[in-house]
Amino acid sequence: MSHEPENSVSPKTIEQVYQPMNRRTFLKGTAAAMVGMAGLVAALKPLLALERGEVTLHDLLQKHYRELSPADLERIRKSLEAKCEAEYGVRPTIKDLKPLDGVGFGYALNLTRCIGCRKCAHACLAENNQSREDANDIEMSYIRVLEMNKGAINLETSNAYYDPEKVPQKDKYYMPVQCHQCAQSPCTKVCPVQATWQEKDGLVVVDYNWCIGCRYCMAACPYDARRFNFKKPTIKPEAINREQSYLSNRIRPKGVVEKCTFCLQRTRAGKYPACLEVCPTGARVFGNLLDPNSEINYILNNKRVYILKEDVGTQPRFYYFFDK
Amino acid sequence: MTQRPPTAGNLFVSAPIRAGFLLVVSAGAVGWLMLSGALPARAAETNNAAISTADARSSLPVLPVVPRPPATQPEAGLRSDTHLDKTPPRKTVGLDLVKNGWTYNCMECHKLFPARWHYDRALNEHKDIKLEHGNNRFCLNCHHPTNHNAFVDYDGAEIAQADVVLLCAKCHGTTYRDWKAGVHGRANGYWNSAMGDRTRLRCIQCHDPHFPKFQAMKPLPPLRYPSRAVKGDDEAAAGASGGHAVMTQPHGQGQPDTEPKGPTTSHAP
Repeated sequence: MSHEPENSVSPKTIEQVYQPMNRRTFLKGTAAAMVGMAGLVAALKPLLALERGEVTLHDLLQKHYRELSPADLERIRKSLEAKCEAEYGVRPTIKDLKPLDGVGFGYALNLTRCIGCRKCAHACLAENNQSREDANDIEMSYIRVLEMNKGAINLETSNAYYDPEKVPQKDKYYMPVQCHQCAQSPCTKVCPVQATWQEKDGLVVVDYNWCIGCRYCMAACPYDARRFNFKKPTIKPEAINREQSYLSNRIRPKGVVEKCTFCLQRTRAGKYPACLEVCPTGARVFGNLLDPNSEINYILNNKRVYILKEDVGTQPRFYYFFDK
Repeated sequence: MTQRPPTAGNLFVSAPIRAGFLLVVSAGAVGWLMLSGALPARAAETNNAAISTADARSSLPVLPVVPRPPATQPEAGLRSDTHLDKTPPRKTVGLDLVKNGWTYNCMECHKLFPARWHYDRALNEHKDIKLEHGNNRFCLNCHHPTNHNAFVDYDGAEIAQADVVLLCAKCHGTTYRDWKAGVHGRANGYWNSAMGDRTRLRCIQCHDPHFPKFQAMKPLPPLRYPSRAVKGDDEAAAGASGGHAVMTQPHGQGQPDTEPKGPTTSHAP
C-alpha cells in the first residue's frame, strides 16, 4: 500500500497563482480595453442620429415586419410617409397590401414576341421608385434585357448593354430577366436575419427596415434579380410614384437590398404589373396559377415552356415560352 | 404603273378623296364658278359661301348622307397609370385624321367612287398604303366590295369594323385561338376580373393590316454606370474597371475604336 497521493498537486506560490500586474499585462489589458471601447463607440454611433433627430427610438426598436402589430404598422407607415415628404418633397401613400386568398402569381414571357425595346425596364423604374440620376440611368431597374445569339440559349454570350439603331436585330433574340419568385429561393435561405422571405402568394419580398445590407442574397441569386442601394437613393420629385407599398416600391433607405415583387402594390390590388402594361408586343402574360382558367395556365398547358436555369432547382414562378 | 397627265376627270377623281368630302364640293364649286365667268380669286375666297348657293347645289351630284361610325382608338389600361407609356406600336394614320376632327367613314367617298377588284392603272388614292400581307394583292380580299365600312367574310357577308378580329381569324386561326385565351396581344388594367375591368388590344391596334410585320424600333437606352459612363475610353480601359468600361460602350455598328475622349455613351448627361 503506497502512501503516495494519487493526485498530487505541485506546490505553487501565491505569486505563481495570482500573477501580480506587471507592465506587460497592464499594457495588454489597456489595449484590449481600448479596442473594446472603440467597438462600443462604433456600435453606439447610430445613436448620434437619434441625438440629431434623424431617427426615432421607434425606428431603432422596430420589430420584424411579420411581428408588427397593426397599430405599429400603421404608425410606421405614417412616419415613412412623413419622412419621404421631408426628404424628397413628395408625400406618398404607403399601403400594406396582404396576399390575396387563393392566388399564386405566375408570369410568362413570350420569347418569340419580345423585340428587346427595353420599355419594360424603363416602366419598372417609373413604377418602383428606384434610385436614378437621370432618365437614362436604368441601372437599378429590376429587369435586365439580354440580347442573345440565335441558335441557343447561352447566357455567356448574351449582352445586356446592346444599343443598336433598331431592334430586333436579325441574328439576335431578346430575353428579359427579372426576379423569378422561386419556390425554392436561394436568396431567402441565405439571409442571416430573415429580412427576405416568400409570401403566401409566392412573392419574395424584403423588409427594408430589417435588412442589414450583407448582400448574401445577391450572391445567392442565380438570376441577378437583386439590387443594392450603395448610396441614399436619388430620385426627382416629379419621378416619384406616390402609390407605394411597405414591402415593395417605397423609396428604400441606403444600404439595403431591393428586388422585383411583380409590382406587389399593383398586382395585389388586382392590376397588371407595370412591365406588362407597357409591352408593345404583348409578350408578357401574368395571372393566377391557382386559377385553372387563367392565361398563365393556358400557357403552361399548351405552349412550349422554358425555365431559365431549371437545373439549379429553384422552381421559379417566371416562365419563358415560344409561339412557334 | 405610269402616271397619266391629270385630265379634268382624273383630277376630279383624285383630289377629293385625298382631301375629303369637303374638297369634293369645293373643287366642284370652283370649277363651276370659273366656267360661269366668276372671278377665280373671289371664288377661292368664298368656297364655302358658294356651296351654300342654290346654283352650286344644283350643279353637283347629290351627296349621300351616311352614318358616321365612331372610329376612335379605345383607351388602353387605367387612367391612373399616367407614368406608364401604353401606346400601341402601330402608327395609326387614319386614326390621326380622326383626332383632327375627321370621320373615318370610307363610304363618304366610296359611295361616289366604287372600287373594283383591281385597276389596270396605278392607284390615285391610298398611295400611302403599302400592301405587303402574305399573298393578299387586292383591297377586296379583306374589304367588303360594296360596303367599304365593313370587311368581307368567306361567303361575302359583312364583318363589322368593330369585329375586325373575326376577319383576321379567317387566316390566322391559331393566333386567334391564343388571343381568345388571352395569351396573344397585350391586356391592360386588372388581371383579376373581380376587382376591375381589363382592356384587350385588337389585332389592328398593334398590326398594320396592310403591312403586318412589326416595324423595328429604336430601343430605349441601356443601363449604365453613371460614374463610369462619363470616363473616356482610354482612361476606363486602362483602369481596373476595364471590364465594365467595355460594357458601357454602345454596341452600335461601326463604332470606331479610337474615339475621342468624351462620354462613352450618347446617353451621358
